[in-house]
Amino acid sequence: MSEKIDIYLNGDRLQVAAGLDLQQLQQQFATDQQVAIALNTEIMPRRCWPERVLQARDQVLMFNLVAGG
Amino acid sequence: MVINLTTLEKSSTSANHSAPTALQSPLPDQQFLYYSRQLLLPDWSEQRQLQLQQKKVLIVGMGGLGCPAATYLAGAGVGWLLLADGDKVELSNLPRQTLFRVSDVGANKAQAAAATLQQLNPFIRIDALPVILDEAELARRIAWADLVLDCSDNLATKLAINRICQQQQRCWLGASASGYQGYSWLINPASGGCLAKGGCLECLGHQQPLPGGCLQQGVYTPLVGQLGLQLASMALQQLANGRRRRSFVHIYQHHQQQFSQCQLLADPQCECCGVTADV
Repeated sequence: MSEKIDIYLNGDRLQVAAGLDLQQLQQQFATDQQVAIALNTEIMPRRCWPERVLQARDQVLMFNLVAGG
Repeated sequence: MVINLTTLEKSSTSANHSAPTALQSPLPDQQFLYYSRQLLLPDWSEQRQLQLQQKKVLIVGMGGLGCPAATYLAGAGVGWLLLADGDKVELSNLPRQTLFRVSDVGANKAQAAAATLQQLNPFIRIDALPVILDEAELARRIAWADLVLDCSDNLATKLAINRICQQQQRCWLGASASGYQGYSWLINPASGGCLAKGGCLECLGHQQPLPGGCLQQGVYTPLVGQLGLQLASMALQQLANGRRRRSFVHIYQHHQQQFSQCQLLADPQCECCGVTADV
């Protein structure tokens, strides 16, 4: 059985596979492709998502990009 | 109640503050009364009020974000507001675009807002640009302003402001909302010294077509109000001390009814800011 770690996604505690990166997290949990991701209060450029592997207790904020006003 | 302006004791409140430098000219009595609650704040002063009167702010978009932002900047005493919007007031705007009334339906938003705001504060200058600004005109107006607020409702305008402010190395503020999603931002292209490099709107991910907008997804009425007020508050802080802040985003989380502040990291390969970010 693969190892799991606990993270927080939009405030909710969640178990994910160890070694999961931000891009994989987005593919698993965001139905909308047009999202931004903040990891521990830093918004990560999309290009960096595959390089950022999640660590236990990471705080992730995933939010939809919008253009209204 | 009739207020006798001639009997107003200015020293009763100004004595609470220590002005950083000698006043060039005191506020006229009526203005002192108008701004009196603000002047009572511990970090405010007549000097600061007079400095704010010298500031020019461009607000692009007078919808759900622009109306509250402009209202509070006018009330605070920003000396010159330039309101840009080519749209007309519609009935569906009224619930959240609080500067307009039923009688304004069909009128240009920038002109209708300017007229209302001038009634709110007759001591400042308010001009309307009742057109959709092309990029050249936008660049000219941004260069004129001390600060730019993007309150527009479309991606093309937001990206144009982002690009121009990057070219001009100008700090700017903006916000975006649709449905229950929304966020505001401060983007500061300046870098160097002890200030870490921050990202721009394209680093956030705004370089691709985004879904819908309020026309398709609706919008949570109090959210645009809150975002507009955030912009006004951030603008006053920025105008007052011009602090060089790293780019950040305030993200609204509807379920928690709260905002989270996150730093906006620069994408080294960003087509907009990646080339100049290291300069």
